[in-house]
Amino acid sequence: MSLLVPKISTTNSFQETNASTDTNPFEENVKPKALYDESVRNLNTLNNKNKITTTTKFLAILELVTDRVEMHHNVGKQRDNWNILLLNSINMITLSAATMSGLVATCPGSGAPLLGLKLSSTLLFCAATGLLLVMNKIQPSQLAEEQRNATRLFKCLQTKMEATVALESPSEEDVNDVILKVLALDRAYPLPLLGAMLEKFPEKFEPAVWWPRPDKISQPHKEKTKREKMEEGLVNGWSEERNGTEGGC
Amino acid sequence: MDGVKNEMELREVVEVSKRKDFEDYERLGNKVLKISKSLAILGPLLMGIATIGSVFVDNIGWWSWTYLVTLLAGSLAAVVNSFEHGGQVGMVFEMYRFCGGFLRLLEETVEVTLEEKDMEKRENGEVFENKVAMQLGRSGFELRELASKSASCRREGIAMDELLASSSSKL
Repeated sequence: MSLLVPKISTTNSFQETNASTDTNPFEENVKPKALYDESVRNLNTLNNKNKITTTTKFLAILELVTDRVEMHHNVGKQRDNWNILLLNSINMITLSAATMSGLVATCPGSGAPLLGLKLSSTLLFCAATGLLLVMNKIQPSQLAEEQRNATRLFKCLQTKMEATVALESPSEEDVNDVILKVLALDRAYPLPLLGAMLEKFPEKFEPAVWWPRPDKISQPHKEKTKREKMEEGLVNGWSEERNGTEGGC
Repeated sequence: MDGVKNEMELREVVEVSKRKDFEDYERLGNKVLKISKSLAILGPLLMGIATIGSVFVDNIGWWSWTYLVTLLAGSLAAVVNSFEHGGQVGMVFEMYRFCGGFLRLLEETVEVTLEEKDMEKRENGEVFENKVAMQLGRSGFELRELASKSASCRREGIAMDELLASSSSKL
């Protein structure tokens, strides 16, 4: 019997809350309160939704940063390999070509065998010159060090981001900050060799810059306000126009 | 009062690191850059001479001396190449670039933090000071000592040479 009492009370309260939507004259005074609760709840869910979106964005960037760490690490290894392989092969080619030239000069007689030695030594020297030109242009050891630094800095960023997520849910500002940092790092340590490679022999020594400079930070703020305006017309992060075209199709 | 003192110390340290360490790195970096550049030109040049010489190598007649040029240039090119890429001169240059960037980052961080007028918004002073000290490879106490030394040197107009012997960064 005693177990029944709480049951009855819960059903009662449930009915009461349900009844608030009905037009029951006896419970009119309940209505405004329920409406108020509803609006607060709506606001809360909106806030929560925003928070969740921001956290999702942040986590997506974190994922990307983790991937970048791995990528730069691998590329760094590869560049280091280039250095070792190119150095060894160029030295071997040069030394054997020099030996051949020496043989040509010391061997008595003349004819086809000597011509062969001479030709191959010239060919080897040519190949070594070409390889050496390429190697001096790209400087594999410098490339490897760049990638090592990039790995280190991305790892730093990753740790910082993980700490932010662990302490509190990240704000919109955190997300923008991290995006700026990643972009600056990308600019400082580019991955592709053709076109984007850092100048290996600059006119003057200049320290590397891998963080967003303060004078550049003010720019994105303007962009941000513009973007916020844009975001007002978004449905679940998609612009309405796009939905319209899809519907039309 | 304490906050102002902290600020002065940090500014002092940044000043020292700018005047001493950064210039050090700049000088060394420029030197390494010059070495790297000349080695990079010298290697292919020697190799080219060896290539041209190897065409004319012969054991009879007037051309017999060309083997000397070829062999010399070839072996020298091998030595230069080993020195440049085995010694990783490019890597050393990149390292100096990174260190210079590190010091500049430190300087800018301190400036940005100190420019924030709202004390509440700033990073906790003690934490920040410790962070800067650790980044320079010192304890908080040593950092303060360095700052006071630098300040007193300037006040009395003593030449900075003595102070400069102890650079701000121990790394």
